[in-house]
Amino acid sequence: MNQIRAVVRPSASSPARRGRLAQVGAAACLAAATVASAAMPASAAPAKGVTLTFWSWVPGIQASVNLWNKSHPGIQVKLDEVTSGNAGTYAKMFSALQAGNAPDLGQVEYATLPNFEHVGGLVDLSKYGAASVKNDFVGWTWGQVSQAGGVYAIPQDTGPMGLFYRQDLFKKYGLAVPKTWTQYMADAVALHKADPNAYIAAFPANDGQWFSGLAWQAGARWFSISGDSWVSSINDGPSVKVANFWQQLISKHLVKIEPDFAPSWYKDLSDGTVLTWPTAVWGENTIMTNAASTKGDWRVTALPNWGAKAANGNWGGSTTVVFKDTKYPQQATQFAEWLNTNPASITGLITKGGLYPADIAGQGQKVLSQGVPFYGGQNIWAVFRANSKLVNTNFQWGPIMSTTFTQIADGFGNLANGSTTVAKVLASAQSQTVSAMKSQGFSVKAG
Amino acid sequence: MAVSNDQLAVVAPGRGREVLTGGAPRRRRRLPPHVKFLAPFGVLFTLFFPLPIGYAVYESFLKVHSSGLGLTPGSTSTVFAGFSNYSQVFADSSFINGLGRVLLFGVVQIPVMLVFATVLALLLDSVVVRFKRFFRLAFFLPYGIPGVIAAILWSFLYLPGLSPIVSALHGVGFGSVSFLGSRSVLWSIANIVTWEWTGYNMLIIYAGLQAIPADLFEAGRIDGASEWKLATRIKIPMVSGALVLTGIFSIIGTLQLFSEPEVLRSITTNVSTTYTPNVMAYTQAFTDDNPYYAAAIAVVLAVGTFILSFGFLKIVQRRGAAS
Amino acid sequence: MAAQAGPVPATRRAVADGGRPPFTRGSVLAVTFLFVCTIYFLLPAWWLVVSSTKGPSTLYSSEGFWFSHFDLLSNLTGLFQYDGGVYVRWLLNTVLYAGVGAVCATLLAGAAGFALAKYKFRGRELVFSFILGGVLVPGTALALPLYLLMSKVNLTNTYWSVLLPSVVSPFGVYLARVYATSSVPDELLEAARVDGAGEGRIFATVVLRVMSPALVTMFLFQFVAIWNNFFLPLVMLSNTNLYPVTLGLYSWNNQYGQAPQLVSYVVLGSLISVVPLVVAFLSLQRFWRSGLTAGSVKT
Repeated sequence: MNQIRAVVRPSASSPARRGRLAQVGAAACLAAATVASAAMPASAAPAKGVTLTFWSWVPGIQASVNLWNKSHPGIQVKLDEVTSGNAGTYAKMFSALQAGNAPDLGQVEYATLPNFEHVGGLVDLSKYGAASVKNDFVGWTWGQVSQAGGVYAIPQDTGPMGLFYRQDLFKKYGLAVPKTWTQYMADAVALHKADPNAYIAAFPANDGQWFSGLAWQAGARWFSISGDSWVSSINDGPSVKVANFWQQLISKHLVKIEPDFAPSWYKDLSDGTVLTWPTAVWGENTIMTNAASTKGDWRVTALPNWGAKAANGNWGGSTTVVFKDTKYPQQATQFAEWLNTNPASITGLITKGGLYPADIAGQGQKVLSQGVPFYGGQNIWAVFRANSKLVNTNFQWGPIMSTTFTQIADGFGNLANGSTTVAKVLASAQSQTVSAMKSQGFSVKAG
Repeated sequence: MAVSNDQLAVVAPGRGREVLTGGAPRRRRRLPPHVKFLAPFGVLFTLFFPLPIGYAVYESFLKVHSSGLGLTPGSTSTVFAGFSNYSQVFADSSFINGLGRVLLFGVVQIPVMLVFATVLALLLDSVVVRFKRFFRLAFFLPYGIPGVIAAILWSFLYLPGLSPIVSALHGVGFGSVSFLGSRSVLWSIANIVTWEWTGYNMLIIYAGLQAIPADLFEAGRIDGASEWKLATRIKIPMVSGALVLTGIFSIIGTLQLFSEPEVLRSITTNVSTTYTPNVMAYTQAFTDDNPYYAAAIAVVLAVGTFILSFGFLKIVQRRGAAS
Repeated sequence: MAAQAGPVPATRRAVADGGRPPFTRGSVLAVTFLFVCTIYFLLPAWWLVVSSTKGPSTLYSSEGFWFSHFDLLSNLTGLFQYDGGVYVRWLLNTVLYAGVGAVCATLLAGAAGFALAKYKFRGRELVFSFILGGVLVPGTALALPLYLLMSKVNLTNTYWSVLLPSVVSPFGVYLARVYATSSVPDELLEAARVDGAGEGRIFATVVLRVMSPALVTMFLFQFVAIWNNFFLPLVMLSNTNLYPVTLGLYSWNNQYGQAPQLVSYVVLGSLISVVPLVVAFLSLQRFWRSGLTAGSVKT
């Protein structure tokens, strides 16, 4: 033990000073306690002046919130800008629900709604008169937010898909804008021949949702309800068809495997490494924001088709939900309805967030009949409006989609090293989802 | 499991006791002083160490049961699960793979880092004369950067197509190096960890070296022993205590691997949600909303860590006693 | 390992440093090697400094290890104004969590370690081993059940949820006990008692003074442990106003797609948050070494 004394030289401070040090330390602890208790949520609700917390990741949604706050001084909404759902916000929401301190309102995609319903996290808005706005919304979106007579969310937007493509580079390489997936494959081959460093698309191997949108277009039905039982069919015929198509592109190295919404991916969208992005309407904003240097180069067309009959898929689109922990379900419902039906609010969501509204009147807004400068003045909304009518509205989501998407994304992670195929990933996601549901007691059949 | 009050209340005749009864009759409370000194820590320790472990064990025996579609309120309930969560953990190939991954990581990264740190410490201790302080500061600097920030920082340097390191390597003829490939990403994580902790470990070992009395190896030097011999025969055995300490902390750290893979997950598809047991537990608890299964993973991980680090300590001690 | 080593003789340094010619082939090689290592350790930090002066558009398009368009000022104003200046709040939170947490942890562990060193009572060794066991339990394995426990008492998503678990430092108790055993003389305590001082007073005036070098080390250890702990706040906090700076920067790092300028704020924010710490660590290095030696003696 001598060693310690040898190395540590005794301090020269006086005893009195050290005594004070201890007092200072104790005071600091006390101060921390005071600060911390001041920050704890107040238990008494204010009599007037309700404040609601709202978690959302839609770019520019603050503008709509500001409009509401101006016109509703008694019900103020505080927006927390969070990262997108699958990038961490759903995890935060689930954990906050477990802890009983979820925000009043939140942004939730259609795919994840059943998950939140399953954990009992959502307020049934029909108790607060939400049914009155039913006819304002596109029929299938209302179908997705309703369950057994309850209404668990207010639809905000839909995600009809389309193909964003680099018009300038298509011209440069002499490629035809594809009308069918066969043509898309031919373009991919021709492009790669012309420039081995350019790819027709990126395959976002972290993103099960992207794939689900394409499977949706091909006529897949991942989940359905038969009587009192779920039917899971993630690897149904149309899904496998889509899987094999992308597997072919992967095997021939015609697509670049990388995570989407990541810096390298943004770079590839900007510098011509990737020529197309099959995505939903809100991708408009993603490209404009993260590939600003490509202004005027992108155009939009319908997704390529599988056959003669035109069809479309849907990726994302989300809703506004009221979480169970709110003290003001009535006011929160009121805000959720207003946010998604008020014309001025919707205009903001369209122009700043790139959302295509689920509100029928909103779809007729003037901004949706105007060209977008970033896209060379093309009226891209017209493309999506036409194609939103082709979306198969029977598609249904399962109750543990976050698990399913996690399994798909984890499986896709092995595509790059060739140890699996897209179809194999779907098959294992199917069996894992069914067994996970069974072990949690759901009544489920493999379809 | 808790530090029980009985244990603390029983006071053996000791110096503190004598003073208490004899020297300080004005005391209002009859608690012996060591209890008063131990109690604040003891209470909080009990609350934040044994209690959560006990709670995790309890939760690991539960599971959620849904009936039918499981969508309507009241269709889900929590039921006793027996050992089913545990059997699931050990049958879960993702967990086994994740565990295997961190073990492989540890088997390679810990020795590499400790050897690296030892070499640096030895060089600073004996060979180098100038810039000693500068080197020590430079090597120690990464330790001041928290793990998440270090991971974010390195993630910029790993980004395919954007990393200045990749482009520099490309420039000198290395082709396109991928730091985030399915095989390479584990070692890229190892690099982050090594970068962060080598300087810290070096400092521990260096402190040990500095404390060795010079006469111990002056004799050796006079006998004409080389620096190498001095290092292996005298210095390293003398700092074996420091090496054991760094080894144990490294084992614990490795099994907890979380921030680095979590940060890299957003820029590569080669880090899955089950990449390490800890990432998996987090995903289970918060993304898949399965806290009971996550509790079982946490318990297995805690027990495993305890066995490994404690076992390592025992083996080292036995060897130390034998030699 | 036995701690038979005595005080470092003053001659040692002189012998090692000046006793041999400074420039042998071996030492040149060694210094070259150390310089290469220095590049390895400093290059990422250099990148951080350089990149914090670049705007989001030049960050990737310019040479990574050298300066380009100078956007430091706009980065600075952007960083401190974004989302209502939440970055400043994160810095203050970090000071609260790590600073106050470490002060409390040091005092608690100091008192416990002192008691374990200087009072003989039944079960003392048992209590000590039990606390030592805590050193071996991985913190992240505790965080999940702790989260569930905290949610039972409605403490998640509060300052408490991060601060309270941070004030418990079993390793600090270990260091304090080792140090108090060897450095707090019994005679000193006796003398104070003869003077009529109470045990608490003796601790506050005499013991803390003698133990102060170890306390500084314990403080530093715990400070870094809290500052490095990412998992606990990640699990506990959902309100961004309560985030420590690590968690805040991590959340921005996931939001580029919504606001590309964040990439520059993450870079500059990382730099600003680590500079004071790095400086503090480097200047307090001798405490690290002393404490680390203490820790490595008894194994």
